[in-house]
Amino acid sequence: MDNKLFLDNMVGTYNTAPSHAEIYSVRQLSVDELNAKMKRLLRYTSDVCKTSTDRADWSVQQDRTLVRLPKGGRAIIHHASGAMKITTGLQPMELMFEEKDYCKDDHIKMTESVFKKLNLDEFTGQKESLQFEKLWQIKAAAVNREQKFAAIRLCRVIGAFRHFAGNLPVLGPASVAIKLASNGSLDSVQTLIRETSGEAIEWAPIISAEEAADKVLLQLSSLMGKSSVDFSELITKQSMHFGYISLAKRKSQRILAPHYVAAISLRGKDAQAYQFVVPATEKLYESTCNTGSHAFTNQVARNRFTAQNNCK
Amino acid sequence: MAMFGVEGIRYFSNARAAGVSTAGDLTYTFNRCNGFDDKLRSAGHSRAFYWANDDCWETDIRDKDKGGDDETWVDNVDIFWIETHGNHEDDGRARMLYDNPQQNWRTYSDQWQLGEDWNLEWMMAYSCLTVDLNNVAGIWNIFSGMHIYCGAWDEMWDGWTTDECGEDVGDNLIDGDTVSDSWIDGVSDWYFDNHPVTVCVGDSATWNNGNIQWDRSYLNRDHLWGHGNVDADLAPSQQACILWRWAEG
Repeated sequence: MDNKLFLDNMVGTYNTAPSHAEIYSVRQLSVDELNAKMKRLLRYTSDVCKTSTDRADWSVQQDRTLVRLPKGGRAIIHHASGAMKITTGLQPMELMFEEKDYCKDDHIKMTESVFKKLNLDEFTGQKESLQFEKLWQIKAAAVNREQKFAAIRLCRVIGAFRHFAGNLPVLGPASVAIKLASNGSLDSVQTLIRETSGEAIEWAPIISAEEAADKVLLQLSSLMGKSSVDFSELITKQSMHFGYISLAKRKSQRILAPHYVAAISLRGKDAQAYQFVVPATEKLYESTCNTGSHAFTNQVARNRFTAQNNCK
Repeated sequence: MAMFGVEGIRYFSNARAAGVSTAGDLTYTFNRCNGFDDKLRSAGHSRAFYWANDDCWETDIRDKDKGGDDETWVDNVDIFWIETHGNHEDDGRARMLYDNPQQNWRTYSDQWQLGEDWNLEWMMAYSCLTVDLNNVAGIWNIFSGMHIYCGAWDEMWDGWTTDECGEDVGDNLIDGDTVSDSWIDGVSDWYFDNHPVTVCVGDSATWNNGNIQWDRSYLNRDHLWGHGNVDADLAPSQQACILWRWAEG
């Protein structure tokens, strides 16, 4: 595969980008405001689970608030992003689904129903929405020494919902993930919603998908280095999407700006899967930190003398 | 409290130059490794070692009986985190790539016997495809007392939505989640299709003639030392079945 084919394939998979898009500022909330939000979500969770969360132990830690709940449950607020998570204390293999209940459509409806009961739409801003995106499942299986298999069991279903600002998705970790056990029992709910402050602060022109794909190719090339095989021959899957991006939950973010997001899988003897993020605007609004960290270790480098001793 | 070890490889230029792999470098290896390390140390657990890049060697996990040095490193801690490129063989053996041939470029799981010295309880590998979901028993031999292997049955993504996976797994462990839940929840962003799987062994009472007593399994019961129950080791002679739990989208 040559570079042109790579670029054509990449551009061919993206969802249509507009010529211009709004730039939004992200609402910044104080710890008190975040705690108030969590109290509201806990109240709704109590209604869904039919258990009281009044007796809770709140502790504000360095970068998060941890709330210990009855029956082994807990709630966490990440101060940087406002991301919230509530777990109800179910054990992983508790309340597994019965085989007669293995219906994906029913599970989607189940997660949508709990989504409504938790009033999660209240946690978005003006001109924003949350839409169902994908159903995930957690399963379990076993085999004995004689290669006899036990029936596969469905442990949990997870409904992932996507935050939209205006007409564009906010790409990143699921904006809402609702994990359910059998009978729709709530195992956990987590949110990462970068609520905007409302009105657009700018109206920015969008670079073409071809230009973005070029930048993705540049990033991929720098990782692949020199090799005996042309990496483009190893690509098994590639896709590109367009939308705002949300950074991970421990990072603060002041702006929602449009980006192209690419995913590329490669297979040689060793499998690889990369995500790339490219700003969709000429002006850089938000740093996405494409460089990564260095190892946080002060361990002295090993040497061959040690190696020879170790390998005696 | 627990002793833990970390190994992370971000750069593979030596392996490429030697012609043993076409694998590219990674970007967020040390975001994840540092995050895991930081969270566990913040809760009072002790880091025994943290090797990076070409300081990571395959002899660290290879069993002593097979010429390795696991009793000094991987099998000398309670929990071990590794990140590198991975895959599996047709017979289900896991393999992982190193960037320094000390003594080999790759490790193969038939060379591992973990927990043999009754030390390692849990191994976490942020690497693609080290478990073959159609032949999970291909890694049965690694359980010589180890409780749970946490890996992937397909791709694990390197990108901006997975850079905090180490912190997420670490937070889950020290907040009191089970090891199995800590891994599956911690490495899943429920957006990009990471493929976590947790694998353990069980006794005949757990197998129960194929009517699995899931509540007895390590997957349901094991927590990090100091944060909940840890079941007793299961010697190879007591192992009647292998059990696994995975996420798919």
